[in-house]
Amino acid sequence: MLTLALILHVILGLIAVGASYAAVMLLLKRTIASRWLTWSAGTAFLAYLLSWLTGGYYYVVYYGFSVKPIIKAGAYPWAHGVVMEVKEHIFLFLPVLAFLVFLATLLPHELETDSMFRRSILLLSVIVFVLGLAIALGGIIVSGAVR
Amino acid sequence: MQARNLRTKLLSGLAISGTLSVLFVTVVTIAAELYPPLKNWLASTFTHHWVGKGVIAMAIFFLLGLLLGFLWRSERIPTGLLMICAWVAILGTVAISGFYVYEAFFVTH
Repeated sequence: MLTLALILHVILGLIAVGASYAAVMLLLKRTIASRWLTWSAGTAFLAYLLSWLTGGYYYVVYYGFSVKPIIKAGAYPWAHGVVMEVKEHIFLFLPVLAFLVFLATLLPHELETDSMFRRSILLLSVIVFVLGLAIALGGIIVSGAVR
Repeated sequence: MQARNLRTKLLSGLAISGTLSVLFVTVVTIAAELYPPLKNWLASTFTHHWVGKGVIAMAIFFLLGLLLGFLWRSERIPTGLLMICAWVAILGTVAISGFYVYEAFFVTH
């Protein structure tokens, strides 16, 4: 169950980052493919939410008791003290920001005609993508620090 | 038109509650490290301090956002509110990252 949760956390996280990237790219186009944009943003939100739940299960049930002590006693204690701490807390921003982007894609006409609105959603999308990517890279660092 | 108005109102409400939710996560993360009784309270109430932060943040976002959305009068696109939310998220990221870097490398416990 723990292994399955971890695998799902990683796969869903990668799907979420990929979908976020797609949303950014679609928002940068002159003409918005609104259906694709809604699907990308919706997929990103759902995948971040599910990745959070599966990763959260692994983190609460296993990581704190079995992985964290090994990292803290190892050569790279900062992998927990900085990377994991930042990763686990910044992750809480993602479902919120990703849902705002998704909701905004349900207003395609406004996104097409209101450049300031589009710019604000583009900024939110870029933040979601960059944070998602940084969190995924953080996961690699934390995993590497256990070995 | 009615669906469009409902969406803009919801977006306004959720942009405000999203900002507050991000702000809450930032403040409670740093405060709980500096004031252990807060971290202990979150842990004892929600089984784990991180679960507590997440549950409260989502409650602020969805419950307050829906409430504000239904009470919201203006049907204008909330560009300013969305920009504020984005910048609060950037500053929150910098604050949390800076705090843990400082704690790990510059504070001797």
